Amino acid sequence: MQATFAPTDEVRESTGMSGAALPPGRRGPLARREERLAFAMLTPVLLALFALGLYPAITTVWYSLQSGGYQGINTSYAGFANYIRLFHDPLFWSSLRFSLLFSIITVSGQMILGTALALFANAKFPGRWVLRAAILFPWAIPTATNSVIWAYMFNYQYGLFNSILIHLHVITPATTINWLGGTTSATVLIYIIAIWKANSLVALLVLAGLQSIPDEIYEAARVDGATYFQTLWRVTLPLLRPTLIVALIVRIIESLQAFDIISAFTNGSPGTSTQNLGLYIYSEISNGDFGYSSTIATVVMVLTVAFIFFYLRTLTRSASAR
Amino acid sequence: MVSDERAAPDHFSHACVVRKKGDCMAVNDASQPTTSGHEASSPSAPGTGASWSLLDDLKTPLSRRRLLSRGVIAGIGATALGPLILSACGTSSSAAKKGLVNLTYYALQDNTGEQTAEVNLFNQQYAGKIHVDYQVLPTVATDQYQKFVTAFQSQSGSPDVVHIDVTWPAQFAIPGWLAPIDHYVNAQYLTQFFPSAGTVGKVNGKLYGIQRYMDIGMFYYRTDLVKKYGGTLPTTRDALTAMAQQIMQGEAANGVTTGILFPGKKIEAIVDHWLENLWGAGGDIGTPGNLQVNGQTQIDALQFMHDLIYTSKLSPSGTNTLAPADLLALFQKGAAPFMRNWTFAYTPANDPKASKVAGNVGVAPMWSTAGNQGHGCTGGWVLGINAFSQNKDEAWTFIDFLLSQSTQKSMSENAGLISSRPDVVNDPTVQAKIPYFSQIGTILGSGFNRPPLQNYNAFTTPMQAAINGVLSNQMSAADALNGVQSQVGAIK
Repeated sequence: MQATFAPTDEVRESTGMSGAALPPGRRGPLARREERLAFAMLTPVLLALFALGLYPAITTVWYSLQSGGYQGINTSYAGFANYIRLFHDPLFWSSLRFSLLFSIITVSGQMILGTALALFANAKFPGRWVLRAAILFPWAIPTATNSVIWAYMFNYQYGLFNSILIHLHVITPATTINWLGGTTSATVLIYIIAIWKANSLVALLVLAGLQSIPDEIYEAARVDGATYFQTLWRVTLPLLRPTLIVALIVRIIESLQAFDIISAFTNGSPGTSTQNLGLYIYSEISNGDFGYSSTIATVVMVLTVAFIFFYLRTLTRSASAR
Repeated sequence: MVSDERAAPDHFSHACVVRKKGDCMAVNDASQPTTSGHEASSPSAPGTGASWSLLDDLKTPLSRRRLLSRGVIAGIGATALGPLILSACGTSSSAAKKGLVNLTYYALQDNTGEQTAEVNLFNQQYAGKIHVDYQVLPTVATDQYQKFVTAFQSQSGSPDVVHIDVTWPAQFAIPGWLAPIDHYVNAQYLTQFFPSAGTVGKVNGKLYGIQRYMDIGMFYYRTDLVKKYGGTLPTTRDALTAMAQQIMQGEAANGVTTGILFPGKKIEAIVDHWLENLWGAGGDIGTPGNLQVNGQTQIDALQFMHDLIYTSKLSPSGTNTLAPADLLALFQKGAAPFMRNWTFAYTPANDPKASKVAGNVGVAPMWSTAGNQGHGCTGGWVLGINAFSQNKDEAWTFIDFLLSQSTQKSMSENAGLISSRPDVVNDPTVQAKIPYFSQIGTILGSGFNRPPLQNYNAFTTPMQAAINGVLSNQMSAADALNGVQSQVGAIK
């Protein structure tokens, strides 16, 4: 049947349609025409990728070598001056530290809790769909909305949590807890909200991974007398490895670029103790300093690209391992 | 809504005569593309080759591919030429209807309907001469700011009239985005307004705008408690803290849990309140390009705010998260005898449905140190003209209309906004509608403006973080302000 249609590469290779008559390395006119058509069809996508991905990235790096001006106008070439300034800027280092700690702690929490939730949701019990839907709720609400609601709940004066504690006689109206005003409490709350927010995404990915594991393998494990934890450790988790790695990398990338979750919750306060790199970039752009904000953005970009390389390498490896 | 008084077109008296000659020139200038367009298609122009090849094409049979490719070229050509053709049409039509000038006015959303009513009235009065199109901007100031910056960066003549925050005139004037209005106003004209309203648009000696309506930091107090504890309203920091102490001790059983409420959240209001404490001690922060935030008076002002929370404990321990709305909620509960807040708090604080202290709320100028005057920090919105506008004279006519006594009276009466004109704020008929206007005249007269900086954000961002850091007890006032000095000192 296929011979009646324009032959695909596989068909040509298997039938020797083009390769046999031509010297190696050369393609027939049909193949060349197909190639041209393929490129023509790819052009819109490539243009879009360039315009929306590559061009902004290149512009950011270009701006990072500029200084002066206002709102990106009338800037002048400054070499690596912005990078030197970055190196001596305590606020950059504290923001970087917050970003990295935020990433490590929240991603670990999301991975552990998300996987546990997925295992729970994968078990067979009546009303399972309710749980599956509930898992998705935090992810379905926009992040900024989440953060504003949480900030109200932890409000010093009329927040839900202080109100509950007052009713339980743990505190009095005169000794309400200043949740968002203390460095430690604000930081811990940001971690908790970030974990609560994104563990549902991890759960969703892992649940999909779990459903791709055939029942036969579990049956074989049961026949061999494996306990639940042995099955989990020796069967489920190794088979979930590619899924877990994808979830892990996606979460790391997104956590490094976090902005709205913190912006709408503490806006980096008290002082600058919950300010991450995303907030720092935003405040520098608001100040009209495109050069310096682009320098910080370039650092975030390099960190992210490093993770993407790691992600792609791992994916290729796990694909070839199969 | 539209009063008879406002219907009289007295605005012509201030309005400049429309520059007919200038208009003609603008029309001629704008028609240039049309002329050059004709030249391009003349036989001597470089574009002629294309038309000949088109003729050649017609001789050859038209294949499907050829049809498609020619279609694409025609499409691209039409798209590229479209704006030219349209602008040419626009030019000829505006030339034909010379006299009607369309203005675009960018201003924030107004839920009272007053702004639209004012624009409609203006359009009625100037029917056939000037038509204003009011484009509603988002309510969030930073979103509006971005809209303006985008319009200015593209050097667009639209909007002609801009409605901007009091901290923006310098930010927009220094890059050359706002037109000076000095030739439209004289000293006499400016005496119609509160002093700070007339100077808030002054940048490097030139005037770029006049304030339309005002806001100011005020000292709110409980009249009943002040009466009970001595009867004299404290005006100095020492007297204030002493009375707050007394009231907190004496009224603890009556729900008074704290003494003095002031904003401490990491927002603009904390910088404003720090400035008020500084101005009230006779200090200032210098001039653009030579700012000083770490002198002794500056440090003392911040130390005073810090000590209210952590030493005398006259302010709530969670002050570092309190915004003006939170302060109002506490004040309405009767939790504090004193509060620093914006003017918006007056009406809800005196609303018997929402406030336990309704009827017992007074306002005064900000506190100061002994021997000095208190000054509230001003806020509000300013009217200015886009430097790229082709219709600056008509734009001024519209601004003059918005600033006139009758329009301002309507604005205060119908939208509750505080006019920048003392004759409106002190007008008995306005005061009959908005009673607290009788108390704020002197407060508005003592207002101080924030420094006119091109990059106000670059000043306020690190200041907010530093002040909030001190109010969170993370660092000393001296360390915080010394740290910020190097960042903000040279900001112009």
